[in-house]
Amino acid sequence: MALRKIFIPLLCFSFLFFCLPATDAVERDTTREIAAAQDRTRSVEDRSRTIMALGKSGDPRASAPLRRILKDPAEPQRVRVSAVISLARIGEPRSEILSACEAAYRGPKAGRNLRYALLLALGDMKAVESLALLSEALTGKDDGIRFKAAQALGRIGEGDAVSILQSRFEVERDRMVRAEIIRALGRNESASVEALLVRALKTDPEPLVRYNAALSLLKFRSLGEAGREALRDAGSDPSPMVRKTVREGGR
Amino acid sequence: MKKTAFALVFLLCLFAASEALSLPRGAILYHTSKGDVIYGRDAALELPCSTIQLAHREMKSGHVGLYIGDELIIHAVFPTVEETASVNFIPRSDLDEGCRYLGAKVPLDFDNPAIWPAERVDQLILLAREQVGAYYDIQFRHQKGPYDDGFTCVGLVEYLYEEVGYDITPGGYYPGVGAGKTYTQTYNCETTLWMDWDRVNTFAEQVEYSRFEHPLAGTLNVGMIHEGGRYMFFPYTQYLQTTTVHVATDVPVSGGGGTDQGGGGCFIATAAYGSALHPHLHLLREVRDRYVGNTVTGRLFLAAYERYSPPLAALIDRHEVLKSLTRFALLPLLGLCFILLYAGPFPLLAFLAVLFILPFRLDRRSSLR
Repeated sequence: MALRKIFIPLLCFSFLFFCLPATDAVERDTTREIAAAQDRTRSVEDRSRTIMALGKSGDPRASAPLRRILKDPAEPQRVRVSAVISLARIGEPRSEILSACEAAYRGPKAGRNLRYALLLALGDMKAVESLALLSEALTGKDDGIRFKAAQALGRIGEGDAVSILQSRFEVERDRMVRAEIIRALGRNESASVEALLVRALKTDPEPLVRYNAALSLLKFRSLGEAGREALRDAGSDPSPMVRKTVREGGR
Repeated sequence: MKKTAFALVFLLCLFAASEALSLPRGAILYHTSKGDVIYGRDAALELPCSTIQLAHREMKSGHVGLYIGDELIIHAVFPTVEETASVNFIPRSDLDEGCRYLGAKVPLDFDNPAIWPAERVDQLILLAREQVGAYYDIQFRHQKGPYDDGFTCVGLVEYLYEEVGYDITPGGYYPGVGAGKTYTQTYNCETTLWMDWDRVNTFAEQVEYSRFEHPLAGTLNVGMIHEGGRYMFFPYTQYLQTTTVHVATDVPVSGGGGTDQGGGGCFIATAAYGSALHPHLHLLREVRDRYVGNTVTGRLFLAAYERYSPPLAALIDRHEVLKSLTRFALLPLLGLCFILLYAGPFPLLAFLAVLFILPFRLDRRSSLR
């Protein structure tokens, strides 16, 4: 009897002991992770890992601290890159994340890889609100930045993104950027895009551009007569890659 | 006079030829992990038994990167795929801890333009540049992407080559098909109480595939599951493949800072030297990051410099004479930076004091005479 008297309260106590921490475990974990993400005494890799975990959790409470990390030029680049990737995953509050991304992009201490990650994040978030920045990046001096801006605009594919890409293609000189514009346009099937891809496949002097135009046209769900004819003609293209692509695509 | 001119031209040509870099774009670079170990190279234990080490993926797996030309590489390095100077392939910190370069490899027939026309190599680089900013997958579960799933360093290279139609591991990482060499390791950590007992936990001799067996692999979900087994992509198993051949490396692949740290740029010096990778710029950047950027006045100076120097840099960039003059003018500054970095601030102050005091002393002596 005495044993039972002791046993039952012990059991209840154990139950509380095990269950109570479980209820607020998630709460404390996020709070702890946010603190760890901001802790500058920890290593860059440790902090990046924590930030990526916060991004995967999708917890919007992490958004504000991650925005602070992203905007702080004194933070290491890799920590800031982790913050960008995670913020794009969390996605809320959208307008504040986008303005943090823009501020970080224009900030004085943004390295190339941070800028690349920012542009890609804008593309992944389909940030039509940031078209001005992307358009500016697409016309900048750095071909690496122009390349990433084209990629991001292709991912957005809405609003004026496609027309910005089409206009840039007409003046772009770097063959890598031109090819990337073609690939970006190829993600957004339409009659005007098809016309541009057909023109690129038929007349562009760069084999890389023609090759990507062929690849893009082959991925289209429905193709007009001009597109089909351009692909047929590409069977005698000087580039072996273009010939191989259309031959295999035709099969 | 004519002879001298000819000799000079000849020497210049020789110099220019020796400066030309021949490491082909698309070459795959490999290096070992800390302590010059890498999984699969020998029978000694190279992957950890320790739960903590395994959870943190400290697996002595080495590293792979893709050379994209112009002394730049693209590699998957936590937390993302990044484009960086080739000197960052083995950063100085890793070099100090014993990471060693293994070499560079390219696919068979890479020098045959009929099989590898320029646009095929271009496409490889283009796809690699597309992946810059993609996730690095620390879980080793989605090693080849695609984008949303992330890459490991070795998975990235393999994925890119497959995308342009070249399979580095035609036999795959799975048993049953010939061609290519891969290795496997298994563990009996339980019997050694989860301790890393060298040559006890490993059975790496004479095995062929990158099958990965570890008591905690299931719990931690390490590797990819194929027909009930767990497999992982490792740099060394890729390095051993007979589908690729060695090429000489004549670009710097170690000793860098590890990543681009942003911080604007040494615009004027970059314009003067014509490349952001010039070793003198490394000196200036070191001083900026270690000393100037750590003080309020230094940061103010840098902000003003970053704002006002680009137009001046653009002007220098357009004129060869200005470039030479700037390089000459930068020499004393570089000397001071060198003393600051390699001797410290006090020797620098002492040197400056001597430099300023000495003329007065000499002047005084001569007037006394």
